[in-house]
Amino acid sequence: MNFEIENALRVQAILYNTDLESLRKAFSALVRAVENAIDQQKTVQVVYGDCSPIPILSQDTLEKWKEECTEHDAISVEYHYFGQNLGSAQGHNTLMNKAEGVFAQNGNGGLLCIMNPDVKLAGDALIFLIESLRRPQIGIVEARQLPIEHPKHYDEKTGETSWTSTATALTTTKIFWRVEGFDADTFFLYCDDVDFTWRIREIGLKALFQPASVVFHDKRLNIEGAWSASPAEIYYSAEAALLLTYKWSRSDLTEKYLAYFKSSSDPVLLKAAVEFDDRRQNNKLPMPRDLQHKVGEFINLNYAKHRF
Amino acid sequence: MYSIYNNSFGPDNVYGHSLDLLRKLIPAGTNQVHLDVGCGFGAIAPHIVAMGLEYVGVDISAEAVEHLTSQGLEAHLVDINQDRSSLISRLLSITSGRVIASITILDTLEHVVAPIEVMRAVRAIAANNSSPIVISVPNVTHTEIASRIVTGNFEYTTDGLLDHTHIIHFSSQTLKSMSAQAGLFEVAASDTTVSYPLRDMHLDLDAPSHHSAYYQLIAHVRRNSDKFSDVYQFVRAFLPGSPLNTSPWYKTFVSQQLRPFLTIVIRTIGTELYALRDTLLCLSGQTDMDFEVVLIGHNLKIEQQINIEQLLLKQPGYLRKKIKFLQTNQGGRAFPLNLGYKAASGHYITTLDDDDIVFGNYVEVFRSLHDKMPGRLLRVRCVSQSVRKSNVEPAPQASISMGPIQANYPADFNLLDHLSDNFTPCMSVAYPREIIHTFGLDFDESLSTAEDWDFMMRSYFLLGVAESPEITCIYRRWTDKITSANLHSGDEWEKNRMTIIRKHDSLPVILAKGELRNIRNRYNAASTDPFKHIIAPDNRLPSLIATEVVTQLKRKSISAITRRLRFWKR
Repeated sequence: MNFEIENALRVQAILYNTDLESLRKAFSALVRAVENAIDQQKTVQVVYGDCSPIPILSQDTLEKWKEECTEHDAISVEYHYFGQNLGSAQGHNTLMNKAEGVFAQNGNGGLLCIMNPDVKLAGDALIFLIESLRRPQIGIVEARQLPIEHPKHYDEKTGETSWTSTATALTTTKIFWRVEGFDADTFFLYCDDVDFTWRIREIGLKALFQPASVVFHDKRLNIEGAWSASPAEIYYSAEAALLLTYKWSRSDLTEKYLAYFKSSSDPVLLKAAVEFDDRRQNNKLPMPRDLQHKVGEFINLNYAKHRF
Repeated sequence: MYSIYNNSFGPDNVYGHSLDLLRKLIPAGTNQVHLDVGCGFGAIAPHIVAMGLEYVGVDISAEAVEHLTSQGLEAHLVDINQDRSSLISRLLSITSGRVIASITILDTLEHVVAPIEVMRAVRAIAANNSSPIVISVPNVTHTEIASRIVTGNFEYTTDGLLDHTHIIHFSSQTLKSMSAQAGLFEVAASDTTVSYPLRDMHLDLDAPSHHSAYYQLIAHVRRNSDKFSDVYQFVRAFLPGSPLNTSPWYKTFVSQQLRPFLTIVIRTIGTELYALRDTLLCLSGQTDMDFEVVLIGHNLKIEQQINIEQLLLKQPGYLRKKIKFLQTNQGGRAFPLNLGYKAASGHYITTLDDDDIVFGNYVEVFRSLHDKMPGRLLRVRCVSQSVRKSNVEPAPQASISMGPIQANYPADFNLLDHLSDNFTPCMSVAYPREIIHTFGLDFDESLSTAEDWDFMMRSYFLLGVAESPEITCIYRRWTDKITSANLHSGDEWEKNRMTIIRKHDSLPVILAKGELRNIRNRYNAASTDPFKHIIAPDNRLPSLIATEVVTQLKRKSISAITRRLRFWKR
């Protein structure tokens, strides 16, 4: 029996002006998925970190929600208001630093589910994530997102994949501590999960995609049938692309993207280029790693081969 | 004057139908009394006597009573417009202890002030022997009357359906409610039907012709709504029972019923629940949760039923409480849909297949369309995506997308396209509940495919459509499992398509305000050279091309394209 996996579960999500009704439903779906997957003797913590300008939730509200939707005695809820926008990477690290007992750095360890706060888990989503993580040498397992599925390639038989999205992913706290959590110095919003996965793979563990574990992540299409990114999403994605390529020793791509951004008339891309140059001048770039390119994958502007 | 009611017996009129009912309900050779309330000139009397019954007639007309007694029949002068207990006493004194085998009240109740009181009195008398009671009343909801009322024409006539002496008018529902409230429970029916009652009887020269499009439309709507459009008189047999005290026989003011906005009907044969799990998950993420789910299990084996129940138990409480799980082992594809639509309590009803995917705004966009144009069909845009099964151990089977999302269904509802085939998947249309409960439409159970297209078009022909270019749902095209698309042969699809087209060709239709303009604009657009040029390469649908052009031009209406294309043509 793997104590880490069988003992306890901690679920973390970072809030930023999250729609409260959507959050309430996501919490209810999460609790139901926990009830379906975890028996009542185990410790389950659901922990929210709030990066919003003003608190959108409270411990009391969270307790009330819990009372409304479960009689599972072992589930506890925690709410932490950060008072500043830490971003997802720093937010999760901050929450983990507050963890106590088995989940703490010196604890015996437990399951760690990182998720977006408004993602709704299918009733059996956690069951299949946990079962997959029980397989040997597995470091992290990602759930399939609906309605827009990520086109990332995975091995049809083993489920192995390049990286996992933390829209909903399951790892263990031991692994989290071992890879020193998310790289919050480098990534604010995007690609923190790509980098996190690749560091898990660097220590010899595998990343899995489990299509039977499914979650609803409310993304929409525009009337042209395309997914349209907001300016903020474009900016943080562009910035993350420069930093990820640099960190994973593909400076050839970094320079190529940088040149393209600088020649662009798009102010968002220009801003990302300026920010990168500023980091470089102030020696704030991450230390390059994976010099042999055994982990990081950069294929056609993506971080994995895509199915389509 | 009363002699105008001296109608003779005929096997096809109310008297013949009433006798048919009595013969079915009274054992042969019964030597008891038949009480004929409002007997008139006793058209049924000889036939009652021939049945071995003792005839007793009561009527308000001395002329009628005298006529009967002169024939050697028992008849009494009785005004049934009196309070219930007095009427009971009067009738009991007339029958004076004789056993009553049966009672008729033919073409009488519409002439009295309080017909429910007469029904109650008769029920009290019939109760001792559980005697059957046959009642006939004229049908005020006949198509002939409906067609006149729409044009503001409501004129009483000498006799017939709109006899000037009628005090109360009856529909099927009125008779049903009133009799149930009086404690009479219907056991048999033998209504009379007549197609030309008013115009033949009263030479109504201004009546719209049966061949006019107008009359055909009224007759079509009326015929679909219930089965009484051609009924002249409701002729029903009742047995006495306990009166209902729940509500009055007439409609009273009720506050708005608490209905969900939308009912989502999902039919499943229970074989691949991982796909249904995905569908339910999408519903758990709706921004507008004002909906219910009617899940219809069709031809389920017991283990499939259990698996579905277990799937439902796994849902979060806020979704689980919205789901009604029904089962049926009857009929083909359309049967469970009809069951689900009739069971729906929502203002609107839509259908999801048990593998469909919807976005978080699925219900929300339907509602916003409804807010702009309530009462119409609501159409959103659907996209498609190829999928197949995937199995990563140790978990069970799941689905996985295999291609990009394709916006290959038109954003606009182009009537001309839809007259030949379907370009609107079932999940992208919601129907107002009136289409079922007022207009009486249902899915054609004789069709093995495309029943959704047929139903949508017949609904559209009555109510019109409100449409949104917003994409809210994904139709999944399976590459490795049997679906309705490949379960049925091409010949079968084509046969059903032609059946549907022939059916639609026979219908009178309504075009909603603005639809003519849309058709003209599309016709004009399709006639311009640039448009032809765009269509030519791959023979795509005009509406799909139009959608693309609208998108490219960042316009939201087809008229914008037309203007632009006209400009190009010049």
